[in-house]
Amino acid sequence: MTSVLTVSLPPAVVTALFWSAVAACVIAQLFILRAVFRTLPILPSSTQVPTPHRLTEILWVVLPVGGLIAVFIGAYRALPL
Amino acid sequence: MTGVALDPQKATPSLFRDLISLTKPRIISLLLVTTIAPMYAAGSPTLLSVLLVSLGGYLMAGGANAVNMYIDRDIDDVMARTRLRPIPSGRMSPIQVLAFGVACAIFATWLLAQFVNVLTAGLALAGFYFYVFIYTRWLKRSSPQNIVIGGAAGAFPPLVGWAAVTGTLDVTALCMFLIVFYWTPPHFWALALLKQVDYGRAKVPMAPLVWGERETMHQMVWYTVILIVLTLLPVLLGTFGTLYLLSALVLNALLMGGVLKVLFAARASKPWTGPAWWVYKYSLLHLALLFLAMAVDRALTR
Repeated sequence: MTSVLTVSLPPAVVTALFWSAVAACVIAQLFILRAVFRTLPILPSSTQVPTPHRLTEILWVVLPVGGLIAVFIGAYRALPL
Repeated sequence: MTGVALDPQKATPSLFRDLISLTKPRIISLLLVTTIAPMYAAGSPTLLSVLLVSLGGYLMAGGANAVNMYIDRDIDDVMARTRLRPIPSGRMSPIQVLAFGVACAIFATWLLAQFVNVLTAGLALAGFYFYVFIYTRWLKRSSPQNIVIGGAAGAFPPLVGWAAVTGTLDVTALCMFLIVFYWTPPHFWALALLKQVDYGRAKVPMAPLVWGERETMHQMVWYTVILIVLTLLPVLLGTFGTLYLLSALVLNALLMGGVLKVLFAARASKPWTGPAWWVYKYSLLHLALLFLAMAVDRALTR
């Protein structure tokens, strides 16, 4: 299951790329989470659409992080080092 | 004779055409790509197993779409793009549509469990329940996270395809699931940005209506960042090789370019609807070609 491309990469590079990927996802996820705190209070009360509940919104944003953690743990164990 | 030639098929759509339209065949074609490509990425499936999984997958997703139309029959009537569906146009009764959707799901479950494996059937059925109850029934009308969490329903097909061949799931399958999951927000929010009036009229709290256009565009960028990382992760694991890597880099660069173009156009107070349409349409191609690249890459390196 290992490709020629990955085998040719030194383990230190693979590790560095992996942690860079983790860092990119953490930063992006923090910005996604920030929107829940930043935008809900400014929702106009006159809006036609229902007002989302803040705690539930936080839950919905945090939930996919579990999937990301699972895939990164699985990926770390499977890294061809 | 009045001299006006009516196309009988267009004037009175047949029951068969209505049943097909209930399944939303254009959407399912992409779901089938994300089901079949993982099958070839996971191993060497027989043509019969591909056909069975495709049929089962079509019926399950089609059933979910039909039940979705049953539940959403009230808002389909007030949205321009859904007004001509069989229920709001009066061509089919709600109970007929519900029965058709449930029957499709039951038959698909039996087909997949009997001729593929129980895990595949269970995953497909989980996708059905997720779409009907978590997305349509619960989140669609209550949260701007509706298509984010609801997007998980559309992310089941890669798991279904992978499980059909391997009988199990691993980190690559989970990665494919998350690729579709994180692809969904930039794809759907591009459409939501364009159809805000429709969604507002139907009181569906899509992100642009709740957060505003600019914040939605920022969110599209962040979801695309995670999507790009996830598409490259399998290369790091050695699952896919050079062909897939090059394809992913090009496809991702175009998608990120499009998403940033929407944001920068809005920031500069320039028209952004053109770029948003482009992102919506291109993202469909992006996902299809990405999964095709997975299958072709594995076929070439096997």
